[in-house]
Amino acid sequence: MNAVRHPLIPESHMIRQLVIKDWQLYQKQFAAYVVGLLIGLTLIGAARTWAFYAGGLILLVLLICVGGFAIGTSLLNERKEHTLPFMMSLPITQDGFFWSKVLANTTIYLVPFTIVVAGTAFVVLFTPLPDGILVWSMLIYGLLAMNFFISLGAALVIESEGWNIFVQIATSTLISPFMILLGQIDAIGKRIPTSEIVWSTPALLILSVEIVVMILSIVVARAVFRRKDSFL
Amino acid sequence: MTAPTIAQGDGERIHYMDNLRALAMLAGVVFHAALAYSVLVHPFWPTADTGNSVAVDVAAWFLHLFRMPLFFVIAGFFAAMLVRKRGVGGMLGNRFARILLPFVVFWPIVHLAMGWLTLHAAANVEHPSPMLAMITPWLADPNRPAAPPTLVHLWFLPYLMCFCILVWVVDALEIRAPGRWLRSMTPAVLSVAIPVALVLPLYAVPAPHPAPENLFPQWWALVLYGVYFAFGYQMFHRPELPGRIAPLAPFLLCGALIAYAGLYVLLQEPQGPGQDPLVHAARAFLEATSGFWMTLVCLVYGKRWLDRSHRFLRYISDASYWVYLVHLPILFAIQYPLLDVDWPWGVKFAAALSTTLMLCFTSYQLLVRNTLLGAILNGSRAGRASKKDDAASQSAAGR
Repeated sequence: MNAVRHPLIPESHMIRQLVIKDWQLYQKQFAAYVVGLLIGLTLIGAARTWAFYAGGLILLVLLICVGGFAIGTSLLNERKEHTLPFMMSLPITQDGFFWSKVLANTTIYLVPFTIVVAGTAFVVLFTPLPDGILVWSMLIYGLLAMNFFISLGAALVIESEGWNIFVQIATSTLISPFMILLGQIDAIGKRIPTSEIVWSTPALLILSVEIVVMILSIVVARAVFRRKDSFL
Repeated sequence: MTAPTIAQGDGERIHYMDNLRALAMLAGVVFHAALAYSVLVHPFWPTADTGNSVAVDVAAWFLHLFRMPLFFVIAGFFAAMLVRKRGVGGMLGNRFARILLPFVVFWPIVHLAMGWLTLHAAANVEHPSPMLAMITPWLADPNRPAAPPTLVHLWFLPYLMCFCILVWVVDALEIRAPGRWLRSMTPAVLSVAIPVALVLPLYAVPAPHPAPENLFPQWWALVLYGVYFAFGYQMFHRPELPGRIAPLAPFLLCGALIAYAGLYVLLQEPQGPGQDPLVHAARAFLEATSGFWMTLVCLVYGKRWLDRSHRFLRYISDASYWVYLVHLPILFAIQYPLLDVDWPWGVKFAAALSTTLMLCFTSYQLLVRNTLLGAILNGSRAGRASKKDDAASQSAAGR
């Protein structure tokens, strides 16, 4: 049975409360990621080649983990620990519940994502690294964000934990082939060692596809979610 | 967070902390003005003058060893006070407004101003410093690579923000052991354990330690200033600490001076690739000892002599943040033309310092004190703050 809106409590208030609840549950893990983020950035700032690659790798792994764990904590665990029946008793509609989850997860993900993307742009633009690598890196970050939204969309509508883990692993395995693929596209790969930042047609096309898939993941998830009879 | 044994800053302002913070910030202006006449940084400082002075070197570098450590102790103290009054979330919100916002606003302005002043000086100064002379041919190259931006003298703001975020991390992860460990130490143990802990980060950099101006965090600076910040944080929960350190203060002062004398002698030994590792370890130890002991001495004598409300000191305290933010471009704008003036170094130093301070304080009075900018920097409109709001505004402004 669907929960109904309480006449005296605005839905936006409930959505806010649920976002805060998700944040509080996730806080401990996020605090650990902040430490990882600091270690990664410090390694990059150590001005040594090995430290630069180690720091970059830490940041990349962190980005994948932040999204995966946020989804796991706020959606999958809720089902596993049977807290959803409690959520159903709250004065919130299915739509409100859906958007509270999207908002909480997106906010949690976008904070480290923005820091890492900005840090990368800074390193590329203000160090001897060739500026041409910027487009390649931004497309990879685009893929990471796209993977996050696909996993989020899946977690919102697929109840099986196994399938959700499959989606997360499957999307993560795309990263290496995608990096190689980008290197083989002349308009992107051949520009990596140059000092020019060129958003060529293939680069713009890939970025557009990434953005469209991100939006579609949420749109499709919402459409499927609305057809459900209950939250469960 | 652990509850303090005695409630500090509940009803009234902790004047000595305010006054010490103001003095630490003003010491920064004196230090930067003095660097133009330092022997040690003559090859690297953009406004380095021909009138080198060993006396300036001795005094300026001694000040350098404890002015920022003291500042970070005070910042940690006020962060703990804010946590107690507003909770960790409230403290973070306040720090974002008082530290991150001013940094985001002022850093680009200061950075651009410093860049422009140096370009202008490289083109116009007839007796350039070694640094200016070195960059002039590089500037003439139209295809020169862009120099990476630095945090300039505002580096302390991101580090401070970082430590405040780490307060939240420690709270969220419920890490209690380091705090308990720091609180359990007697003053005598503290005065030995902390310098020993600081040897490693100081060993990683040349002596005297440079400013961590890189845009990416430097591990040695995180450890060095993080320890001072944590010490200040714990000091809030141990209000009796300055009193317990007081009997040791004369010995700490003598010890710090002796350690600094030893350091100054060892600074004449070569540094960098091929340096003697033992000599450098000794430098790091003496630097750590002198810096920490002088910080303790400042806290003890600050509490003894500066723990009172004084109109003048309060004004200095209110203005110090603004003065520190804007002083360096003003100082450089004065010191670059002075490179071509044939005056004794003492006169140039006095002229540059007094003119910089005069311009900074005048601009504070006209542009900041009773404006929105003042409210952002100091937490409340300083001129209108009531006594009732005094303690609250102090913790809010506490950087």
